[in-house]
Amino acid sequence: MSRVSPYTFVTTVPTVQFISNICLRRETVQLVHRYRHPHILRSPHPQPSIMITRFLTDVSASFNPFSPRAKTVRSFLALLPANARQTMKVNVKVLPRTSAEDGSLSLQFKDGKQLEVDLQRLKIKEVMEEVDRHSRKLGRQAELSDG
Amino acid sequence: MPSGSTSLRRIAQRSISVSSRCPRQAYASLATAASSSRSYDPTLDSSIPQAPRHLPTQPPSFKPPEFRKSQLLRQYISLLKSSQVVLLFQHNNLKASEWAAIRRELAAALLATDKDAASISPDTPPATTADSIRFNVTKTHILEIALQLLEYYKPPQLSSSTSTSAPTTLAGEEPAYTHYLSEYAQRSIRKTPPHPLKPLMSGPIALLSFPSVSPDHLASALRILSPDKQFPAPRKRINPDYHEPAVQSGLQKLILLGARVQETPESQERRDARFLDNWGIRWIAGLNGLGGLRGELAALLNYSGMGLVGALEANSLNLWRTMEGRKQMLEDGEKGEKSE
Repeated sequence: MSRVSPYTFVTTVPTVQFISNICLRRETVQLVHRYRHPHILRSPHPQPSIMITRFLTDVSASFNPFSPRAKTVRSFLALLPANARQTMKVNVKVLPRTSAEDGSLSLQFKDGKQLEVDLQRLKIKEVMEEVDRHSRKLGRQAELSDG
Repeated sequence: MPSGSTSLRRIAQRSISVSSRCPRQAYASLATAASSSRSYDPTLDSSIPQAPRHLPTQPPSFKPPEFRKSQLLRQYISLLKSSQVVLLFQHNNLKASEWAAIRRELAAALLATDKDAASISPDTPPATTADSIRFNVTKTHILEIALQLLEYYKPPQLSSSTSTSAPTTLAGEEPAYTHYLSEYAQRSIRKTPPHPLKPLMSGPIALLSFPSVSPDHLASALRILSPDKQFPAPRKRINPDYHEPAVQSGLQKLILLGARVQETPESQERRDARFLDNWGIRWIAGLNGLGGLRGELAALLNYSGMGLVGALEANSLNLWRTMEGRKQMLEDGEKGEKSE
């Protein structure tokens, strides 16, 4: 009676090629790529980060460019793809340098969930994580309903 | 074996003949002759001028000059030094076609401004022309270092070692090179305060650079790139190209962040006044350009001239009126006497 090798799972990790044949979503490909090539994360020139934006319907941002808090909002706007305005409403407001407001970033998803990003607390990586968490949930629901 | 031994012999012969032909022995004999006649003088080495290792216009840089980073830093420093006004834009994933369309519209608008300026004052050559205004995408971090260098690093005048103000390195020696790419410059900005534009230096940045302060050109650039009520975009009827989807979708992704105005002797005390936000830029663009100022001056002169003429004329006119009135009265009196 042959025993199943404990390394079976390791050896059958799907390749990037295999995954991209089934599903061409770039974020999935990047996840697998990160798993297989962890050294890329440590490289001084990391791959550009990608956020799941296809479940966003509304992005409204305001920022004062001379405030250090604006960095998160501006980085978020830079993460939206080139055709973002065809799939979602994007509303950007630039505040004057002397404004007392600190800027805001509020998002809306396809299921109607509103997300007001706390710019005092969150950096862009954490905002991306939060957005991706909800987007993955919506993605799973969409796959189940399609299947 | 015999064939092998003959070949070895041939090689040996050849090597002997080569060594006999080599002139090394002759040189060696010369060298020994020289050393025997004169002893070695260590001061001689310093008196011999060293062959320069680089061109005088290309002093060695701290980082290897063949790196793209070094060249970009040099390019940004020269761009910032040669442009009096620089507008900073954030560009969020614009496509190449959108960039091309925006640059085309911008160039057309600036050319029209050039023509207007030329029609107002045909004799004076303009300081800013449409082709001298550039819209460039930059590497943000390298731009930040270039700004920092220009703000806080003043290349010291290298003089003889006797002067007290000669710059010294950490080790206390006089630096060999003090240009912007030198090690001395790079080290001297390490402990400077953050640049006023530091908060803007994140994300993708593009620069719109003007070689001189020209409110007309600034206004026409704002009308294209960041229109609002004060500087409205061209109407669809007048400029249909501007309302193409490529231009409009590109402009939605361009955000005007701020501006840098170059340092002048007057502005040295108020450093923050040279770094403008959106409103400051619009204030400068709203200033009257050269044409507008000339118009105002002409109107002013016209008006005051009319007043002056009126004031000068008034006395003689009054005199003429009284005289005329008196004449009329006398004539009327004569007529009355005759009729009686």
